[in-house]
Parts: sequence; structure tokens; C-alpha cells
Amino acid sequence: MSVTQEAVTASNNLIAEVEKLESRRRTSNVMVIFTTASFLSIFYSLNFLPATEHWEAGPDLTFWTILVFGFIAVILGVWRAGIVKRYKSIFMPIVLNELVGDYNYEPKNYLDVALFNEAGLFSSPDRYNGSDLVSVVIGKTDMVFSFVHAERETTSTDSNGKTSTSHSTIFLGLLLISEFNKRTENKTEIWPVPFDEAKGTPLKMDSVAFNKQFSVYTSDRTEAFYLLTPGYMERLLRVRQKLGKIYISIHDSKLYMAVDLDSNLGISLWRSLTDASQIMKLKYNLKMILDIPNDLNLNTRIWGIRD
Amino acid sequence: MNITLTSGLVIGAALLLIIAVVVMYNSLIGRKNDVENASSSIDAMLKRRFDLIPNLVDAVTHFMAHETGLMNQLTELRTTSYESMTQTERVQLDQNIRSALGNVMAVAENYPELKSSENMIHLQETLNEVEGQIAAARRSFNAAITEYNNGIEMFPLNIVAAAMGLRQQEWFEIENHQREVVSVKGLFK
Repeated sequence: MSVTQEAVTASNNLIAEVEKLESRRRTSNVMVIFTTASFLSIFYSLNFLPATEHWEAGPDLTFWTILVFGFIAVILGVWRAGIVKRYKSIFMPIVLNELVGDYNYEPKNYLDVALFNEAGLFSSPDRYNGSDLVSVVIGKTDMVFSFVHAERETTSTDSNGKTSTSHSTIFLGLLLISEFNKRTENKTEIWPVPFDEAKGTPLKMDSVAFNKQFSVYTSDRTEAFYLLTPGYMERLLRVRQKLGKIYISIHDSKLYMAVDLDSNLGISLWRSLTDASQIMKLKYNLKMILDIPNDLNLNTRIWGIRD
Repeated sequence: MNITLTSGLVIGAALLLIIAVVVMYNSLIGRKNDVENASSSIDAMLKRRFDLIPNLVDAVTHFMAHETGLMNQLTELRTTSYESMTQTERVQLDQNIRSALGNVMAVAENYPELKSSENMIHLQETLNEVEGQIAAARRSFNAAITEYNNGIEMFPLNIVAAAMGLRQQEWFEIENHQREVVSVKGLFK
């Protein structure tokens, strides 16, 4: 086969694959609407219609209804997440190729839990998984990121002595690690305001706007001021405006950033997957992530960290 | 009974007052120590820059030996001992070093071989790092001074501060002539 024929075949295969996904998407949407409507009707009938001579709903029936529909909802959720995953695995390489050219993408892989713990931003998880591992070099800066879901396990015992285990989310979003362009000997954390954890007294920086959006915690004041120059604080404010809540830790001359970002990267199953706007949304969100080294001026190497 | 209740309230109030005074005292001591710590950070960074002078002289001598004025300026800086200087002498030294470094970098533009030498590149990066750390130490110092001055001026800490004899401290500020736009015309003969 010639190169052109190969390209045409690949293109046709791609179209066929997307159309298959689109068909599954439509079916899943119908299932969601049907399941939701059924659940609401049954729930209403069980709890709000008056009892008759021959039939009366009890709390058990409501419980089983919720349980069954809950199970169906989980199945549907997993199925729909699979559609998004497959769509991403097809188009992320194409978009990454256009944006950066040279990259490594592993859709099922993710940053190791050791790296999550190394960031030192959140507590060590009991359950951890993720997706979409990307390694790339932007200018002079090595960067790696993936979506991660870190959870803690909590065990509780009821009055009958029965123990139950549940999981709560520590962090769900994008974790990014890149080289930093200044040498560091201590650790500085930058947290978005407001946040839930109790972290002690923050260091007040010399920018009112920055102090309103971020809280800084450090083991060395002078190093924190060295890292957070007035210009750098402005950059962080712009990145926050662009990406939303960001959590940053800088140590060992590396920058660790956690971003509250949806792993769907803008892909919606309520719009056609053949719609060009889906790819544009994906490209837009990926570009926001890939722009981080330039947005934070990490490619300027004049402070003792070589290329 | 009434006398016991009244005594209890008075003792309780007195204890609360003592605790409040202790907390405020510790807070002021903490702020004072932060200022001293920040001040020594500046000193440490200035010393680090001073220690780079010999490296600078070694890097440029081979290329700029005939720039006698500049080489004399650098050599003079080398002969002083940082530890033996008074605070006033250190402030003057800081100005002299800044002036010398500025001159070296400006004149180095005429020597492409020097600019591209590995030694010089590494030295320039280190100097950038040190200058950044000096600026950071000064900002950290000013932040510590702000916290300290806020403490001794705001009620009710100012009462305890006055009893401790604490006074307002000065922020680090540059001299007026340093606010002017730098002209490098005179460096090129």
C-alpha cells in the first residue's frame, strides 16, 4: 500500500471507529433517560400515591428500588466512562501530535502513587488509580502528567458492632510534575484560597492580590520569596484564572501541580462525538495544560539550572 | 457565698489577663526574632555574593587584563575581609560590588569569547541566582518588619510592646540615586 492509500485506510478506520462510538453514545443516552424516568415514576408511585385496598407500598420496596436503580446507574456510568476513554485514546494522540509533535501517551497508565506522595500536597491514599499518562518536553522543560484519583479508606462500626468500609476522595484531577528553573533546598507549598485542610499560619507575601487567592507554606521564608518574585506571583494568578483551583509544591528543583480538572477534558456525551467542537474542546483543554511551562516561565534558565 | 463567687471571678479574670499578656509577649518576641533572622539572611546572601568575587576575577582576567580601571576595582574588593567589617562598611561594600558587577557585565559585551566561555556562563547563572536570593532576603526582611511594626503599633499588642521597650524598625529601601534609570554610556571609552 502507498502512503496515501495507508492514510486513506487509516482515516476510514478512524471514521468507522468514531461512528461506532457515536452509536454507543446515543444508545447510552437513551438508557440514561429511560432509567431516570423509570426510577422517578416508580419512586413517586411508591411514596406519594395513596395506598389501595389491595396494595400498599412498604419501605422495603423503596429500598430495593433504590438499590436496583443504583446498580443500573453504576453500570451505565462505567459504560459511558468507557466511551469517553476510548474517544480520548483515539484523539489525544492526534491532538498531541499537532500541539507538541514529540510525546509519549499511555491512555491506561498514570503517575505512580510514589510520585503523588512525593508531591507532599495530600495525605497518602489507600486506594489510587488514574489514566492518560503523558510525557513531553516543552521547550527546555521535561513535564509529565496524568489524571489521578486518590482515596482514603474509612472504617466505621455501628451500634450492633458491624463494621463497614467506605472511601472518600482525597484528590481527583490532574497531577503534573515538571522541572523547575531555580535550585531549591527546602519545600514551599502554594494552596488556593479557600481550602479545607488546617495547615498552620501562612506566609504573607508582598502582593495583596496574590494573598487573596493563595496561601503559602514554607520551611524557609527567604527561599519562598526567592521563588515567588512579584512577576512569578502575577503568573500564578493568571494560571489560576485559566485552570481554576491549583495546588503547588516546589522542592528538589521540581514543580508539582495538582489541578481540579475533569478527566473528560471537555468531552460531553450529550453532544455528538462526530461534532468537531468535541475535538476543539479537547485540544483547548490539552493546550492549557501544555502551556503551563511557558505560563510559569520555566523555560528561562538563568538561575543555575541548566537545560 | 457571694464573696467566694466574686473572688473566683476576680482570680479567673486575673489569670486570663496573665495568659493574654504572655501570649502577646511571645508573639512580639517571635516577630522580633523573625526580623533578626531575616536580617541575617540578607547578610548571608551578601557574603555569598562577596565570595564569588575571586571567581569573577579569575574568569575575566585572561580576557580583560588591559581594562585596568575595572580590574583594579575588582582587585580592591578582593582584598577586604567581610567578617571584619562594620555594618556601615558592609553597606558601602554592597554598593561597590553592585557597581563593579554592573561594569563587568556591560564591558563583557565587547568580549564575545568571554561571554560564551563555560566559566563565564556558569558564573553569570550563579550571580543571577545570588542576586535573586538577595532581593528575596530583602523582601522577606521587609515582610518581617511589617509584621513587627504592625505588632508594636496595633492595640492591644502596643501596650505590651511599650512595656518591653520595643521601637518601630526601618524597612529596607534603596538610595534615591538607585531609583534613577541606569545609564551605561560612560562605561564605553
